[in-house]
Amino acid sequence: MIHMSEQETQSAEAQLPGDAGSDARLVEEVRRGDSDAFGHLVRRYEMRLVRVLMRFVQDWELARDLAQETFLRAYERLDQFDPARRFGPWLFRIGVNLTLDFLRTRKRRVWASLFSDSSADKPLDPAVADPRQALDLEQEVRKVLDELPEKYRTVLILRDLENFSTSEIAAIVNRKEATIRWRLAEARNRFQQIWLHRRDGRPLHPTQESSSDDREE
Amino acid sequence: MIGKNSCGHVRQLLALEAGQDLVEQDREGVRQHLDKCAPCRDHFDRVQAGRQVLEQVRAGTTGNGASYRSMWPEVKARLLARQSRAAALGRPAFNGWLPIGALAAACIAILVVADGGTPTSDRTAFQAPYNQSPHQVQPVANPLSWRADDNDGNLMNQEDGPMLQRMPASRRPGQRGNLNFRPESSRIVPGDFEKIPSPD
Repeated sequence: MIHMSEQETQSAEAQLPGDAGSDARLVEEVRRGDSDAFGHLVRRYEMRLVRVLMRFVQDWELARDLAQETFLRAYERLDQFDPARRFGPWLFRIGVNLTLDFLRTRKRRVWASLFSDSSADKPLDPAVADPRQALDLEQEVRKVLDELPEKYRTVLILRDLENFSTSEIAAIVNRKEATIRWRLAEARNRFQQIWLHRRDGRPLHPTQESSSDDREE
Repeated sequence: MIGKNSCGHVRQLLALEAGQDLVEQDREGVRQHLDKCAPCRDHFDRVQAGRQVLEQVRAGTTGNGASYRSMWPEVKARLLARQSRAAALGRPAFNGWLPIGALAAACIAILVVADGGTPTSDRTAFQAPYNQSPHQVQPVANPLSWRADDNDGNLMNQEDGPMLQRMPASRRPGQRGNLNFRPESSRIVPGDFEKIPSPD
């Protein structure tokens, strides 16, 4: 149960997360009915969660909405969470899966509207074309990432853009670490190949890379 | 088949090495290969360049949290709203299984009570005496391993999931059947039911 608190944390943005104890202890407190304990977990993980989801959806408000939904689902499923495991990867698994589902649904809608609507391009493009190099670079990287298969793109984002360890990524996507390392290698090889193709016009030779299908679980 | 020391295999390892993800035991072999293979060295340079691009993007978007507004008030409000809705409906919040379970239990109760059966067997709580009506519905333990046939030779094959079979109209209630059950497990799986034809 969440109890209404008269003194909500007004300066939540100023409060540093992580001072309220270990995640396992906080989860236990939430299960005993301490809503503030869940607030500590939210504040501990929200920024990184939003940033990670931003890598997938490229829209701040959307990432924030997805992060909110992630926390709601985590709260609802807290009784299923094994305290012996780490809360962070479990939370991010919910968030990443939710986001990937959202993107798949949106992609299907885009495809459906492709033949009836000429504006089938990214619906989340900024209103103004920003000439800054950083934004151009990020957009270019985004385009290359979009060309990767989802399983490689996910691993590459989590490892090289968000600096999760391979063991954390394995927990997030629920695969063996060896599988994650294989996917990571394949993702990096494909990324550099596509990047150079787009930048320098180098030809793509997808058959040069070894097949990864026989290495998957 | 790609050998362990082939360029294809080494290039996979090089992609890991570019991000310092290579395990130590592979590093020496990769170094020795690079000493002898110029194309692989070129490949390694390209992969490293790709990683540097990603690192630039990562560094450019880390940002700072000074202006970040916590979403906890919004999350809490939504949780409270759900809780209030659940309370208004008179059921516990966040328990989707409860109404489903209650509905299933109600259906079982109706069917059992309607036929006047009471569980007597110690094998399962729902097994009834043989003098049951033809529409007795009984749960079957581990339906995938049960095979039963009634006197009409209708094989109740459970491999595709639980099935309900109507009693033929010709069967009279209270008569004994000739069912041959060979339960392989006494474990009851909730929701798995099978109508047992009345005995002839």
